[in-house]
Formats: sequence, C-alpha cells, structure tokens
Amino acid sequence: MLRKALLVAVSVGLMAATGSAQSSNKTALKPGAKVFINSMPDSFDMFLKSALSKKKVPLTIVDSKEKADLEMTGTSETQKAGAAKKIFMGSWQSDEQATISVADLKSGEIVFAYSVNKKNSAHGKQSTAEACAVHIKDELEKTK
Amino acid sequence: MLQRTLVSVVVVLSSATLWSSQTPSNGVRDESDTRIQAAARLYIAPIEGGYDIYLAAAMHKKEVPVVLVTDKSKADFELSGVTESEKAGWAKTIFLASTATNEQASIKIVNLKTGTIVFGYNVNKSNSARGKQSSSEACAKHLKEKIEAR
Repeated sequence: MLRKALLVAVSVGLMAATGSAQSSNKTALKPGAKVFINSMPDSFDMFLKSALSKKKVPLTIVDSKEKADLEMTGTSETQKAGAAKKIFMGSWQSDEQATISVADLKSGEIVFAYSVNKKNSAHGKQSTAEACAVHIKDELEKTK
Repeated sequence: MLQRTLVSVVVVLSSATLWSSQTPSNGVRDESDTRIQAAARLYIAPIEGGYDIYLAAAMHKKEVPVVLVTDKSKADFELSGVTESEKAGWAKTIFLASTATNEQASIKIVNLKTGTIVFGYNVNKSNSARGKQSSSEACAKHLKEKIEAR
C-alpha cells in the first residue's frame, strides 16, 4: 500500500517538474486572437493589414498594444529594378524580401515567425505581405 | 499507516518541486559547459536591418528546439549578430545575368548565467538564392545541429 502510494507520488512529482519546463508556447495564436501590428519600415504594416483582411485571416487587428494578445513585428526590403535589369533582362519588377514575427504579449514568447523572398515580385510588397498572411492562416488552421 | 503514507507523499512532492525550482530550465551552471539544452529560452538581440526577425523565422522553419522570448530577463541565452548584404551591380546583372545578392552574417550565443560564449557561426553566400532568408536559415540549421549533438 505504502509502496504504491510512494510510486504515485514520485510519478506526480516528476510530471509536475517536467511539465513546468515544457509549457506549450503556441496557445495564444488561435483564431479570434487580438493582434497589434507594429509600425514597420516602408509602411509594410499597412500592406500586412490589407493582406490579413484580403486572405480572411481569423485574427482581430487592434490599434493599441494594451488591447492585444499578440504583437506582430517585422521588416521589409525592396530592390527596384535598375537600368541594367530593365534593358538586358526585360524586367521592371522589383525583388522583395520581408520577415515577420508574432509574440505572445503575456508570456513574451515568439509563437510564429516567417520570412519570404520574391525575385521579380509580381505585385511588389503586396505579394510578400500576402505570403505572410497565407502562412499565418495556415498556422491558425493547424491550431483548430 | 495512512498518516505515514501522507507524510511520505508530502515529502516526495515538496522535494520534487524544490528540485525543479532550483534547476535552471537549461540545466547549465558550469562556466566550461558550452551545451545548449533543448527547450532553452533564447533572446535574439536586435540586429541591423531586422535580421533578428529573419533569424526567428528561420528557427521556426527549421524547428530549432528552443523557446524564443522577447524579454532578455526571461532568457537563458542571448543571440547577437551582424549581417551585410551586397546588391548586384550593373556589371553582374549584364554579364552574369544575375540579380542575386551576396550575403554574409555572423552570430554568437552567450549563456546569460555564466557569460560564456557557447556558440558562434559565420556564413557567406555568394549569389544568395533568397537573400537574408538563406543566410539566416544556415545559422538556424547549424544551431539545431549543435543542440541536437549536445
């Protein structure tokens, strides 16, 4: 009887100890969560807001960090086609790269991050922003 | 009998709790220990050009077994680095028909408790297929190898 009780106690103790070290860090990224989008270089945040809306990502965008569960930060870079590319490659399209990360404001953990690089981007920043939105949506669908 | 059992349960539970609270989440104390344990909490310091966010994305993509945090005080390790991009000039565009950039980056990871540098890595990519994304994924891949090799 005593041995059984001790075994149970040890198991419970060990489970509690390991459980606290491996807490799930993806709980905040769920459909309906409130996200605050930080300002980004070249107003990439505006493109992201439009893309999230266009791709029907199930997140609520809020205008202040205090009201939010998640915070999105990111950066974007555009390399416009130079004269050489236009003349010799016949391409006016820009090369785009962008990256975003989403942090849980309560735990301070980064719950999602994504980067995209598009050569000869068909729609410039819009293309990279929509790629980010699609991947957030995929991640949210995984949590369902 | 029941009292003894209860006392034993309480003693075992409290010692387990004490043990878990005294052991740091990364399990590292010794200064000469350069291991990075899986599930260690890593803070990425801001890097010029938002390269820290590229690194976070790369770690997410390559499934590096660390927990990324935005607050240094909650972290076991700190990653800092530097990066440089060289865009293709007109000569490269015309004669090599390539608009790909040349990328180089360097990162280091410091154990915040001991102050020891536990990991360092440099990457240089000529004609980088995906710019900063390529160099950051190289860093993430090598960090993952380091953690998994222990």
